[in-house]
Amino acid sequence: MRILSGLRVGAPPLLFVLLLTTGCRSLNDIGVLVPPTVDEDPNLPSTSVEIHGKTRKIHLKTFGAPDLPVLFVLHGSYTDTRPYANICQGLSDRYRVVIWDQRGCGLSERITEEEFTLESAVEEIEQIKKQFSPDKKVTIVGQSWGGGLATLYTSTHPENVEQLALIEPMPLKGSDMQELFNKIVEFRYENPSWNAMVRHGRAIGPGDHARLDYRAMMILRSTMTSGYHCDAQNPPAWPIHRVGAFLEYVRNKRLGNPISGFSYDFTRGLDAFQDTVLILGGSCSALGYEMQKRYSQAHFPRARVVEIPNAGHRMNIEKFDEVMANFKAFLKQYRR
Amino acid sequence: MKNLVLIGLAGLCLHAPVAGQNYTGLLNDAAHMVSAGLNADPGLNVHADYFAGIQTNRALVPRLCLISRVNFPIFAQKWLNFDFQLGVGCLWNFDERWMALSGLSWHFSRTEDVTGRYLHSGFKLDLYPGYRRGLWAVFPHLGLQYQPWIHLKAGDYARQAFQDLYPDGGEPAYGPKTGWYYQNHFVFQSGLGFGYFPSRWQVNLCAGFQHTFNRLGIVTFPDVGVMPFYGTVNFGYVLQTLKSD
Repeated sequence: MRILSGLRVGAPPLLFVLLLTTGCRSLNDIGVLVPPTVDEDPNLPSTSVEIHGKTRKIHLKTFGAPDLPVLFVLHGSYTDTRPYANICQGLSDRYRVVIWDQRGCGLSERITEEEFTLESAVEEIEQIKKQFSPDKKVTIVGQSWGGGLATLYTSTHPENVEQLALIEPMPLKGSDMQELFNKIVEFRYENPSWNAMVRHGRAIGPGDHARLDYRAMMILRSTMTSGYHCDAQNPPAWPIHRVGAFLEYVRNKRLGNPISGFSYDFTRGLDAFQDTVLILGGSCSALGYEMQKRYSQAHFPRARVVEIPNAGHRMNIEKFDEVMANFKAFLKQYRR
Repeated sequence: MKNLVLIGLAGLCLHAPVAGQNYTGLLNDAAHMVSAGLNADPGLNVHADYFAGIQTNRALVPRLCLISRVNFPIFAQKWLNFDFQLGVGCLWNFDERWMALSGLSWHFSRTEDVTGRYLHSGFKLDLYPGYRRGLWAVFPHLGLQYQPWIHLKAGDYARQAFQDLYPDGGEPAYGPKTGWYYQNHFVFQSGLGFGYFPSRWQVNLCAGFQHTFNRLGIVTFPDVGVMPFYGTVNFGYVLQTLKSD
């Protein structure tokens, strides 16, 4: 009898819980919070790369005729290829522009922590080069982290690089980053954007990739990156498909942090690259003209730093015409 | 049947959201208590509680309580975000000095940010096994929150991520749709609490480590606000004690 009366008491709330749960979709379902990746949706354009024995699908797009010289565009951190479509389109009349979501980012397949190292990031570029320009040099355009990675690739494979053009590359040595970190990253406890991300964690737990990616895209609309922009409170729009949050987490681990120090160095071997490097720096950004002139320029045997007035870190969105004018004045295919 | 209910309540015992709740009125013989304080999870919040105590006349579980709390984030308060909680708790007396507080709470919350608006709900189980002597008590804290239900209304910013997906410009079959969803959102807390009860007034503190369960192995990721700390400080005033009832 006691069991029966216990059931009578317990059944209604149990049924209520079951009804609430069974009528709902899971936040983990593909495409609920962030777009599917190429391994989840075969309709997305992709290629595969094998890095250290592990094959991963990459979301990749090309612009321009296949017989044109190849130009790679490397995207920055907390982003994917989407905001660079204008550059790719703009350069596609003289180059075959190849752009891809780096492994773990955007619509590319997610990877494990072990798969991402600075060496494997370089190997990824090498694998793409083998597919699109196995016998000829490539020109590389890189922004922010992409600029750092382009520099690292050039220092590792100087014989493979035709020209190098960088948009506000990240500090190229750990010692530079150590000095600049506090100017680049605004990390105040009372920062409303950061607190909004914490609060978001009450609603949606970072239990899996999609939920963490969903939260991480809030950074792109936040004031935590105010040092990068002319209007600190209103960062320019930066449309993305997916921030690869786990990849950002792993990359942070690989690069270091301000407490234990940043130990990376993208500049070893740059002496072998004697061509002039173009570096664009905005007048507003913490990684802008002043920083590039003071820190980055000296790491290259030859580098020219150009200031883009009234521009921040997202200058290819803000000042597209000025950026393209500088690229076209620099890139060999436009000077012939 | 009464035993079942009592055991159920005792098993459920005290309550608190991620921030930790004010069950310490059980140690103050409070029949009615109001309290307020700050809590960090690790974003800073302000909260106000109401506590109602019940005497049971049982040696092992001498008091039960009902608790309610409203909680507001401070720095993230661009929109009306809040947590509302209801819970039950109990005091376990093992001897004169060794005791435990335990509780179970239900919460309903609203969160809005650039990605959308969320209504979310779940439960939390708290356990504070502790030691009491005179006017003070010290109690380790173990907490487990499970929040399975969430109503999502995605904002334009979240929807924009699904545009321009396919080269042929086809409409994406994916994207956040307004409605109820479920998730496995567990938060585990372990910390240390301290309470001081000089009179009708009381103050209690609790701080420790929290871990949000995830498949990715991430313990801390400060960039996106994943940090393994929590803390709360709470000031209470007993409006009426059980003895004066």
